[in-house]
Amino acid sequence: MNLDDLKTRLAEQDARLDQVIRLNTTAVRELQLSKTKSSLRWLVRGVVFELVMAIVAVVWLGDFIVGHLREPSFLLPAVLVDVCVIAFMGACIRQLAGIASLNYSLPVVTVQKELGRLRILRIRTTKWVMMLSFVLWFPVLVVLLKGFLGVDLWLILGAVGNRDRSFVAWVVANVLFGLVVALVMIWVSNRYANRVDRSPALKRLMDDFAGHSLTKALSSLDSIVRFESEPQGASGVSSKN
Amino acid sequence: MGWKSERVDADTGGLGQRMTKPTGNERFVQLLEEHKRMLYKVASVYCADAEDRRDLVQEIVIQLWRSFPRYDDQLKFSTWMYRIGMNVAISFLRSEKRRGRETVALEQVEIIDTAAADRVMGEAGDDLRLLQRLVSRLDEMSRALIVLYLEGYSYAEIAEILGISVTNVGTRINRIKNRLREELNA
Repeated sequence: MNLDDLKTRLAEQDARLDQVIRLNTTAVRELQLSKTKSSLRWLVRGVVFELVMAIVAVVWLGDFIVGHLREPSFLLPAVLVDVCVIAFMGACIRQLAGIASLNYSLPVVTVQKELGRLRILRIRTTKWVMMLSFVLWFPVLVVLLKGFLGVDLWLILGAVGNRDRSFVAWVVANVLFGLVVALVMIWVSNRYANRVDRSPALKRLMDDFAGHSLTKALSSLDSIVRFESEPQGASGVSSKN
Repeated sequence: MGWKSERVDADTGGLGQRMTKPTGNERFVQLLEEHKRMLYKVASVYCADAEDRRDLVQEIVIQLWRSFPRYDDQLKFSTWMYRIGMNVAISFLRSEKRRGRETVALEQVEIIDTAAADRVMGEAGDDLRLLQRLVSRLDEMSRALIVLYLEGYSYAEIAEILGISVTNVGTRINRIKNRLREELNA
């Protein structure tokens, strides 16, 4: 028996499907009128929210930087955080531009390649944000305390009169500490991501951190690119599902 | 929706139909009614789970409706619908949301009676069930390829829907056919 022999049987089955499948026209009309969101729309909302937060942060940090131009112990942490937030803003804009330009009625390979690139960008952005958060928490704390409460963290830490040297020491110590914590987190994520069943969000975060998501996304994109090119020995059959 | 009404020559030959340019909600529902089987077939090829199938059908309909104003009647409606359906299905299959199901935003409505269609599929003979199983083991793109082939699309039409060359379609279909033939005869 071969595939073409089954076509007649499939045609009979299709005729039966045509008879039994009923379209719920009321539900379709409600869908047309409602503001039901597809999963992509929810992703857009998330990225827009992140972008708005980033813009607010950049504006606030700009004001903070201008107000502390002559105080390196506050200026440097603020500039460091500002550069990172601006880079994050760029990643958000790239994601939004990619989503806005998506046209699902284009050929499948074209759309899937674009979606793959967007997925990789999102995963890399998340991973960078998480990695940097371990290193930047201290400069952020210094800037936030000063900016919102007027509190000089350097004074609290006993660095009166020697802020700049203290700043350098703290940054170095913090970067080293952050790297150690990040490495520990990567190890924990690698080891336990597959055991986290109850919280899909946590599992996704751990997969992003461990690099599983990125590996999978890169592999998916690669499979689309390979599908687009003429086959060279690939059978197209996988053990998935 | 406010796009212009426009008529083109009817082309009732082939699988898809070139017909009156969609003019709004009612036209959309009418076209969906004519191609409702496609919704089920795409969903059943990409989702084994009944709940996933229902969600996927809804996702496809939402995307079809959102893309409808840009529908170009130079393209057969069925071709356009398959492109969108398969794009949504592959994304759905790969989406973290489906695996997580933590924030499914969709209201739980049944667009098509999937249970009735499932019963028809369940009554299929052993050979068709085996075919379903074998197709479900293919990667996402190969599944799209074989579904279109089994629906009777030409290599050129399949190439147009998927965005690959006609030669590529032919080579890949032959390989899949050989592989499936071996397994069907095993």
